[in-house]
Amino acid sequence: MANSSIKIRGLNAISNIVEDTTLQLGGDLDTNGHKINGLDTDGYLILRGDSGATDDFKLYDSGILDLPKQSGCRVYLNTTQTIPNTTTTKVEFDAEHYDTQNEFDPTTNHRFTATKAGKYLVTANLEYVNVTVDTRYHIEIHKNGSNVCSRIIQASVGQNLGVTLSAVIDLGANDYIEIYTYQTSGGNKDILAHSAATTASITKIQ
Amino acid sequence: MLKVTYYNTKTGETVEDIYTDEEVLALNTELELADYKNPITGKVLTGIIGWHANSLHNKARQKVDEIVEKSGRGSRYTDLSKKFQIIRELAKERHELLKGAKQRQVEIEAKIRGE
Repeated sequence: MANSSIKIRGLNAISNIVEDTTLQLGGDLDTNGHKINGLDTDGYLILRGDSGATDDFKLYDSGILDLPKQSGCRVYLNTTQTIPNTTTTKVEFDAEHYDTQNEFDPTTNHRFTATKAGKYLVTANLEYVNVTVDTRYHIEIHKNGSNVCSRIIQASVGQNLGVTLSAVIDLGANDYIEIYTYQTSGGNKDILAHSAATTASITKIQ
Repeated sequence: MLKVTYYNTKTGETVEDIYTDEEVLALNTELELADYKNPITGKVLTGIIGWHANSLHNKARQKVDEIVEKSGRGSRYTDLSKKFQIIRELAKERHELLKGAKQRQVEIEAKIRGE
């Protein structure tokens, strides 16, 4: 236990630790060193915000960490979208599996606007329907309207084609992320509306 | 230079804010292609102003959703026009959920002072 500790800044600002007992911190609260030393076996550390109703942070002695309110969403296309030939087009995700902090706008601008600055893992898959052989299908991540990551796939068979991209993007507060696409089939192409096929996930990881 | 003018249609108050040329040059390195479509008017704003509008409208969208959900009369998935109807009803009722921050501050300070 000697090597395990958690530093807490501004310890005197935590008002609901009445005393350091085994019920609260296992008797290991070091107020001088501003550390909590060693969680009990099967124990955990919980931090709660003002509302106190839900755990904001839970660290088990196993090392597993819960961040139930962490920024993140998974969205999908619920309405078939037609992508015109050689036209960079925003993918208008219009339904949500989850959106923990309500940061995704599924109705008008179809974008994720970050509440807090940080690194965000962005992944997306677009399921193109009946693609044309030897034509190209792009997927792009746009930050504040600009392309910051992209991938191009050339279709080798005339079936459905999944175009996938992932990247960690550095966002400031109020920066926004959108998924765009582009295709060169020579005509319109549809993206499949399906909760498991055409999706995007964004998660704050740092 | 970029000048942003805010006009309060209820009070008639006008407030101007200015971004210098240097600030515009710096912001345009990242925000030149930003945009925002207003869900009510359909108007699209672009560049720095588009990013700014997205920030504020996104905050408004989240607050509307929060108030509607806390009222128990709808959810974030309720139709936008219905959400606005709920907000108007709450305002008419002078509901606690729509108490302004200024008024809440006055009340909290009065309570702290024991008035």
